[in-house]
Amino acid sequence: MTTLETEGATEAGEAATPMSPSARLRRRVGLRPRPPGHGDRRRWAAPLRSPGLLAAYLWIAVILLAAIHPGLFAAGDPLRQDGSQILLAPGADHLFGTDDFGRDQFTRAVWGTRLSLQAAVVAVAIGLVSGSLIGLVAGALRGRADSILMRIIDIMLAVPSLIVSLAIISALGRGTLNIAVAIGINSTAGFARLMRSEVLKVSNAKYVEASVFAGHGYVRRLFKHVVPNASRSVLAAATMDIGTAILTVAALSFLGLGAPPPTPEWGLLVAEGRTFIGVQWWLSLLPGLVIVLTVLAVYRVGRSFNRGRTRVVA
Amino acid sequence: MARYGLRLLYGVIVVWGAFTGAFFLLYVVPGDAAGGLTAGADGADVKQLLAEQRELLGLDRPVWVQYWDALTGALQGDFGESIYQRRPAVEVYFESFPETLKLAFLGLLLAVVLGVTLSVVIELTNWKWARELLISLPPVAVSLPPFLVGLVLLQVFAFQLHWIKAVNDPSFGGLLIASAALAVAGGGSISQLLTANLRGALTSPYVETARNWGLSRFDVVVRHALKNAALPVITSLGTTVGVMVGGTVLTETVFSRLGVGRLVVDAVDGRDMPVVLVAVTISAVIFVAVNLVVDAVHPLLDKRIQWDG
Repeated sequence: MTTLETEGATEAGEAATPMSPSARLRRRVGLRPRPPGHGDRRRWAAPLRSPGLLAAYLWIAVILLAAIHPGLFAAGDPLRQDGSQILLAPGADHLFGTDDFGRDQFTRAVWGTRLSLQAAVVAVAIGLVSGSLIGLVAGALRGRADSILMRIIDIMLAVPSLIVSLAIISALGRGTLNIAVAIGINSTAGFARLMRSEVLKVSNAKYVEASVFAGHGYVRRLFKHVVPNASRSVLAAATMDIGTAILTVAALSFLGLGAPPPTPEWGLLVAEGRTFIGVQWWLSLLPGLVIVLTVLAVYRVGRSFNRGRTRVVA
Repeated sequence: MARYGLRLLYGVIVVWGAFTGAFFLLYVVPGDAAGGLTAGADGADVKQLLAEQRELLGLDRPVWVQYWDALTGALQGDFGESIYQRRPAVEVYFESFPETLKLAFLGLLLAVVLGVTLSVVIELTNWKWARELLISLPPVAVSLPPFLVGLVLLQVFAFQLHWIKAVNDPSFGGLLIASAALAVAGGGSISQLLTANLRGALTSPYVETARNWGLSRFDVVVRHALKNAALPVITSLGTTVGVMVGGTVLTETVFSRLGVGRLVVDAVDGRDMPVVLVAVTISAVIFVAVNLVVDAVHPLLDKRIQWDG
């Protein structure tokens, strides 16, 4: 995970535009400025003004549709072999060509969508939930509990994620969802760090101070003010992390740790086509292109959620 | 300086924690090396064979004894023998380590050079659409799976141009192309971070002053803004090194290069505990060392940052 600091850039942008009264109020009470166009009709028109963002949303919609109902895009059976149609070049009949068993590579890519996306979403969900809990406990308790938890997080970051993934996968057995569990456990540390820093930041905001003076109890303050405001940033970061998870799922499948060969899965398709990279390069590169476009789209949407936030997990 | 000592202590704790974590993670995972050694054996005496092997390897001892032996051994630099190769694990590891180190180091170097150059070029480009095009490059670079970049480079340089051999090219060209595959994603993330920081630095008063001195745009960007904008990038290098180490496995697989990546995959698969422990310890030491260096470099780049601060 890399952290992306955009603080300087956004502050510079804000200084140039005049602030509305509500924005001034938000700044005075220590709230983060709302993202541009937030809370009015313009918010939903934002994708329309940026063609890149619109394309990203459209591509994600197509991918989701393919995951839910693959038959819409490719009616054939992804496992059907045809001895007379081996290693054909891409054409009107076979958009991505056919592999060495005569299976249609496009159909396989479409039917592989579900498994790949499912794994990425499960991975992020595991990392998000466990990481946020650890970060919340560390940030809320502070003191000794905080420093012990953060040392454990440091240790988790120091162990190469590949070794952790390998150990978990060899314990659970090979399979795409087991890959997801491994990735989820690996991304816990990053989410914990982000959640902790957000909790600490929000706890220092003026509106939390105001809640103390209003006589609210600790628990109410934590769950009504700190948790919702801190988790907003963490959720925005999680959208970016889905893109990273898609890449990691594909990478581990590529290494042969995912579902066994006949199963259609994006990383595995690239790995299977690798044997033919010298001549039938499309077998690897076209499914790879689908991965790239999907990650690109997820990152683009994620960036639009993260605009104006200080840290992005990616 | 006292603070530095404390960090060093933290570093030692992190390495110890990584060692311990890896040991117990592998211990609780079902199956052990004895199972790997007797794999394929059948008949009635398999159970006895398994028990014999276990006794031979010392796997029948209580876990605490095994852990203590491993830890005290490791402190003296002796991680035990690799179970499958019957040679010291350290020897097995350091046989393939130089290859991976070369790959990762060159990859990191290329990533920094590519990332910084791209960011500076973006800042210096006047032409609006060329600039837009360049700005869109880093996000694309981070979206490319490293194994796919490797495959494309392999297809172009090995099969189309025949500049390198497709399998384990020992020449520098082969190494360079393999590390380029590794550098694309790293360079993209460096450039993304640096571009955002440069934009912030270029609007700050000291850059305005430099401009009013009449310095050229190149001088303003490269000699003044870049230094301050680089600070968060250097911090992020600590994690980039980790990404590189993971990325070498994929690169080594694609280019059929022998290295630590493949070794570790096989070692975890076969529960070759000594080899895994060497790999984890070395990686943790690298991680800690890089972060310590990053911390030490900070005050040199920005005089406002001090150790006791």
